[in-house]
Amino acid sequence: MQQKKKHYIYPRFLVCLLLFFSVSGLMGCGNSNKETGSTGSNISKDENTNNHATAKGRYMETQLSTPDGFEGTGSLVQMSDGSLGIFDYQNGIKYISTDGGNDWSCEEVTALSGIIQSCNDLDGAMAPDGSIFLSYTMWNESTAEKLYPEKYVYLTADGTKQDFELGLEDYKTCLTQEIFSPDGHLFATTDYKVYEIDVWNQSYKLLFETEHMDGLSMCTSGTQLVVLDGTFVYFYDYESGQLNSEDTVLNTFVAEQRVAGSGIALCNAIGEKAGSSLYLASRGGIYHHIIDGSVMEQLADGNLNTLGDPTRTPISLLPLAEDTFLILYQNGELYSYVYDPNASAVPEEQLTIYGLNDNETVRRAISVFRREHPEVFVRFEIGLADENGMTADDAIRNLNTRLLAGEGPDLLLLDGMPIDSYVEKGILADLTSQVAEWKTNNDFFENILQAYQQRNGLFALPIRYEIPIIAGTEMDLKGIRDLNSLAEAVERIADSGQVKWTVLGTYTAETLLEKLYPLCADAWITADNRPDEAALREFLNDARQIYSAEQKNLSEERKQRYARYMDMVYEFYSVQEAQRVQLGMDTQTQDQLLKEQILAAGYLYSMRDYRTLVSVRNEYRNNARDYRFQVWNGQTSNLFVPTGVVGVCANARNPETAEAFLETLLQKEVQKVDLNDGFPINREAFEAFTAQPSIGNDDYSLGMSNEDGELVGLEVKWPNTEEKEELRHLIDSLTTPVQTNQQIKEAILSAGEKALTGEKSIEESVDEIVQKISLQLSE
Amino acid sequence: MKSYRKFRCNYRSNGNPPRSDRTHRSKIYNGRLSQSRALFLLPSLTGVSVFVLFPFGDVAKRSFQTAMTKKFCGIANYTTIFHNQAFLLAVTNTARFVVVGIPLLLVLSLLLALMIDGSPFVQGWKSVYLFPMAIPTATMVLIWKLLFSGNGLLNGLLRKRGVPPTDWLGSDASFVVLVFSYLWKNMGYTIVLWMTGLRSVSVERKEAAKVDGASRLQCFLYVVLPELTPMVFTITVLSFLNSFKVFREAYLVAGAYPQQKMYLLQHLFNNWFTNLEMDKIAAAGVCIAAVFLIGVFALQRLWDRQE
Repeated sequence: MQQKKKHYIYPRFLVCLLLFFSVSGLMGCGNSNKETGSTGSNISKDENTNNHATAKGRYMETQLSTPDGFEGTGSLVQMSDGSLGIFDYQNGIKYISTDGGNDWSCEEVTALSGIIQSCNDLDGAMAPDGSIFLSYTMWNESTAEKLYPEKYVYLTADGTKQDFELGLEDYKTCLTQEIFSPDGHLFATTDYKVYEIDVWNQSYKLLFETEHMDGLSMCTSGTQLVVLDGTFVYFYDYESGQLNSEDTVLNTFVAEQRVAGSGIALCNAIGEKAGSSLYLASRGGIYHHIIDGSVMEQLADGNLNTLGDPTRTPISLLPLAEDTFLILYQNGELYSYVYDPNASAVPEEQLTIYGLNDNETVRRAISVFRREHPEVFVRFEIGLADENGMTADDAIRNLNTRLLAGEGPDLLLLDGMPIDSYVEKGILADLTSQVAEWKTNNDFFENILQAYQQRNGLFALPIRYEIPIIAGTEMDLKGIRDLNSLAEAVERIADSGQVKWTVLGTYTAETLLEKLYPLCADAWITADNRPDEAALREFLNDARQIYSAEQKNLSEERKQRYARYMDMVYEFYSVQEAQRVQLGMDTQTQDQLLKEQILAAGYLYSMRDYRTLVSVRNEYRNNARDYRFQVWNGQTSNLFVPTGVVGVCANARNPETAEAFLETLLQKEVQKVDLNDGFPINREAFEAFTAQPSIGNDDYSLGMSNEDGELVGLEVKWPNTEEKEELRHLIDSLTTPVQTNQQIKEAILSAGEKALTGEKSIEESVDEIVQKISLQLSE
Repeated sequence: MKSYRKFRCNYRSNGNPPRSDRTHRSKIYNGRLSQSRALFLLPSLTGVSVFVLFPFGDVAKRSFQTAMTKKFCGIANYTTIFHNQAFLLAVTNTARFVVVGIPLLLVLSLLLALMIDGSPFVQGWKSVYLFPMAIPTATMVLIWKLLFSGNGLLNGLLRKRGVPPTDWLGSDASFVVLVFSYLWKNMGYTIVLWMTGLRSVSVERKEAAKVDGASRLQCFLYVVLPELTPMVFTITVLSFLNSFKVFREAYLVAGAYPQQKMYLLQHLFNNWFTNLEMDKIAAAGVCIAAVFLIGVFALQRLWDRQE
């Protein structure tokens, strides 16, 4: 009997084991739900905290006072006696601090006041011994031979002044950056060229040429002059006169920062590392790099301090000790960064924001939120970062996996994501009550804020938006109400004989479809979620009519020239910036003035675009021509293009913190800044947003010439009160957010292009688009 | 199983009642067999259970729940998918692809295997047919585009012969492209499998058939083919599994929403996952697993019966 029992023990044991695994496995799968009541499992706050509490050591940021009236027009210099100095070349004042930047004494440089008050285009530098070099131009002394001649002044610390001219490239260029080395050499850059200037002999020597010209920055390291031209870093040994081999790691880093739109300040290391290492400050943080070394060592994370703020650009970085840095920002703010070995590496509480693409407004909000809540570390995860080579679908699938596992972010930047599906599946929290509460303290553009209101709640909020605009003379704009009337108007204008090249400035079918897609996409889906064939057919017919009219007056040569121009644009700018050149109003209105296009139809991204638009209108009016602009309607009316749609995850680890961050995003402090990514949603912030900035955006005159050599002038002036009010009314009239569906857009761009160019008939293209859209809608 | 069956068979064929000591010995034998079976099976079965069976159990559970809130919803998910046009289209296309592609692959590869088997350059031919398997997917995608795009090689050839070009990837012809690329990529592997089967056919029996006056066709039909029958099951299952891999090329060439005839279940599942339609994925997954299991069991039963 014993034997008999034993025979059945193993199979029974096996069955029991499998059953145990099955039951525990299934229970395990269901546990998360019981705890959270909704999506997936939660990592507890304690667990989260413990992970980060173990790592210690962080650079702590402190804002230092800067002299009153100083607005960032000068560099931070460590003087020979160890004190800190700034020479404000705009006001001719020398500031000195003997206590590490806490208090500043000011001294007006009277020897230069006369020049500073009467000249144009100033730039200057101060040497560690207190001597000053100043470059300036006197526009009124401009002659045909010496066009805007640049002059220089060198003022020694004991007051000896030398005035001189160098005649760089026959007065056709001017200095953009100057620095003194600790041993008194003066180096300067123009666009593409680096010089050493001998102030005593009043001569210059060309050291080398750079490949690029944007974001030039310099420092000296030992006997090496280090020049950053925005893309490459050059090491020039000014004693041997040798241009050293390139530092690949540093070049890669600089290129990445450039793509991220970050400015870089660099300086020589101090102590034992002096001459062999560099420190760099950029949006990513403070970095240490051994020259020709293989790594960029991040000392301070930009996400934890002001460096991550897109509205701040570092212009001077100065190490005071191994673990202490000072950074002067372009807006004149000065911060110290001191390493605290006892502080946790990151603040213990964390808030995670996930978006497919970077967003300047979110970055700005992170900076503001961090100042208000220093105990919270805001992590902004970008799904489509350049280095990971993912597609949007891949990134969304990764996100979905995290959401299913209960490890999703706290906030979602929903641009490019399936918003409806996330709402339907309960991923997003209803923000109705929070928005009602925020409205008691803020005045919003309700038409924009509530645009995503659904019957069962408000799950997504736009934080910025672009405005579709069409502008032209009264006669040309007459009767344009929708896509159909636009097609007729474009054809009429193209046949009128007044068109030099194009009516709308669209040279390719792809550009035209890109322009029209947001204005019409909503019309292609019926209320019962089916493709509207009639609307699609009408769209393609109208688009083809416009395209044919656009091509009527275009020569092959002109098309090729435009293609070459766009290649250059794409080479020089990022893809997003290049698209803005094509679709934005800034370029189009200028082309309109040059008579290269008749109507300007595109999108307003910022006050810069609006400033050009109203300036062009004023120019037309000055020439007794009636010019106006209106919201551009396609197959749908009163649309706006959201450039940041945010939702809070229903399963957020820290829902209160997530809501607090969202409130910060919508508040005046964040919304008032024009980051070239759309207009504010906060009505109170609108005033500050539209106010004329004090630095770099002053009114100016623009001289342009077209291909025929015809000169056109434009007085670019900041919009006045009435014009700002006009913009406000324009915003008030917007009601419907453009719902971008990447699959539908791709289908339209691919099949629509064939229809426009005649490669396929309208019917064939409609069938192809309907087939693809149907598939998606029927899923 | 086989030895157990043999034993049972002997017992039955004997016709006499078994002796008690014999019964006892057989039980001891069976018990030891069960022990060793259990021990041998345990590691792999545990792996399969942890990574396949339990997750599938969870999928089956989710098929009766809502997507994210996981509330019980009965058979609502099943009702939804059977009313979902995209699901029905994907099922139809996948079934059609399997019904057309697999028999074509089996027959063509068998014919080629027979031809190659008698050839003096067997290794060379094998290498030629196996070559597509060595081509990375990314390269395959380029080849697809080179061949089948509007201005591709195939349309170029057609134009030269005065035939109007076809939109291979944008029309119903895309199904032909799908089947063709499946055949092209998997032909070599299947040929090798068939050749293994052909080599195992007894030479003596073939010789005997020839001596008895059988023609080549008769020899193939009545001697070779019956001996190949066990291979059919293996090759069919492997070909079925390989048929899922054609999605990679289809997805990379035509994206998540290809021409309707190319729209397979994998496209649908991929898109559903992007939209977080876990409820639909679970219900559809259970249905497909059921169909697959029924198919495999049917094939196995057929095989067992023939054995």
